[in-house]
Amino acid sequence: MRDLRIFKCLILFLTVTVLLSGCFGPNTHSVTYTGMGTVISVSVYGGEDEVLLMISDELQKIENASSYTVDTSSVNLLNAQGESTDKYLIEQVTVAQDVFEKSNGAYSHTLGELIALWNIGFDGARIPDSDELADAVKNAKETCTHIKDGKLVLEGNGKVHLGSITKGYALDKVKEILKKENVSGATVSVGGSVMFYGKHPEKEYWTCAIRDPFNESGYIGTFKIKEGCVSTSGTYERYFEEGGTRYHHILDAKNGYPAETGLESVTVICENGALSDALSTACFVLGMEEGKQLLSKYGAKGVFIEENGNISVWGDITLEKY
Amino acid sequence: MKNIKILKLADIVLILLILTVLISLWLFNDGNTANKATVYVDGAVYKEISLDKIQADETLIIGDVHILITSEGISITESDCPDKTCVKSGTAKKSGTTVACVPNKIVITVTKNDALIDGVTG
Repeated sequence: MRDLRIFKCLILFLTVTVLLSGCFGPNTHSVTYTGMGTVISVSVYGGEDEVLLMISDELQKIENASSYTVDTSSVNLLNAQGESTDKYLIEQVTVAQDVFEKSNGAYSHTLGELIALWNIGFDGARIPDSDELADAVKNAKETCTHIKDGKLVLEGNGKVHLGSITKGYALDKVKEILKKENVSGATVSVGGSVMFYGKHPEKEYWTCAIRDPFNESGYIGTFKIKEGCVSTSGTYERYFEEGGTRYHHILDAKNGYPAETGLESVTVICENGALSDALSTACFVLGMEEGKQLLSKYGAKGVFIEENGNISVWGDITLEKY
Repeated sequence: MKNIKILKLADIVLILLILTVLISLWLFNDGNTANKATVYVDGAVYKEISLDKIQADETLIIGDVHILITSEGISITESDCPDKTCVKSGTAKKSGTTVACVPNKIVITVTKNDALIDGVTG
């Protein structure tokens, strides 16, 4: 009889444990901090919390390699010496070069000089004079990158700037860690680039919201996503105003001025983070129609928001009101 | 016979215990569905504020950054940073919104425990 009592108690205890674990879900580890010149947020489901440290270490390494504002970064060494063997740079430039070619130069990773002239988002942002702009545009145009035998070579007077790809690329590197550490699900955001990885702890899909470019504390809507990366390029991210005109940070390689294509923001959804980041910039510069053609070449999806408030969806995406 | 009776009493006690735990959990979760603002400084939680329970406006001063908390939401009103992106970001109220002053390493996020949104792009 006593054995039976212990047995019953044990069964009840197990039931309670199972019920409670159902209430709390799998282990969740979340962290939010600033890095890579923006806000980084990581939530990991079903993994150890050391994963968060591994991720922040990796992001720091990527920033040290890619930052234009860190004098000793690999990208600035490349700009000074004309070559580099840094794998972070080689991987980013490989994707950037492909988008450069497929967008007919609307997207460019050699705009360093131009971006530094405007300095938008930093102290001392200004409208450069037309001679300066013409020189910077010419230098960027006459500059190219090659990758040969594991070495990245820069030719020309232009400077490599990876600001429009690094945040997305960082998501791809985080994905490698999540895979290696057997994490069941995670969301990672670096600025406006977000990765949805693996399985949602409770649902069949993740829900992603798109910030409203006309009201930054609101959303234009949400959509469901199983896995993948989402990036947005918008005029509201970094800009300055002078004489009643807003000068935003997405520069057109053709004339050196902020791109004016009637768009307020472009969101791109695809599997690869570096690609989603570069494509959102490329689409912004190309404008809606040509942008959609570019997305088709990569099998990517997009949400285009025009200056007049029109929203146009490209690909299999259903926007829901929030 | 006596043993069986004690057994039943233990069962009842355990069942009551389970019910108490479940009910308290349910109550606890219900309280957490309100919008919560979390202020992070250099990655560490500095303060958590329940946005649905604001009685009077409050200004939080961290270094040279002024954070205003009202029933309308939470915003950065003053900062010594060069670009003032944080001040231009406006007021955060909805779950999933973020206001940040990157040069000062301050991040404010608004979250909800039963959040419908897993990530925000833009």
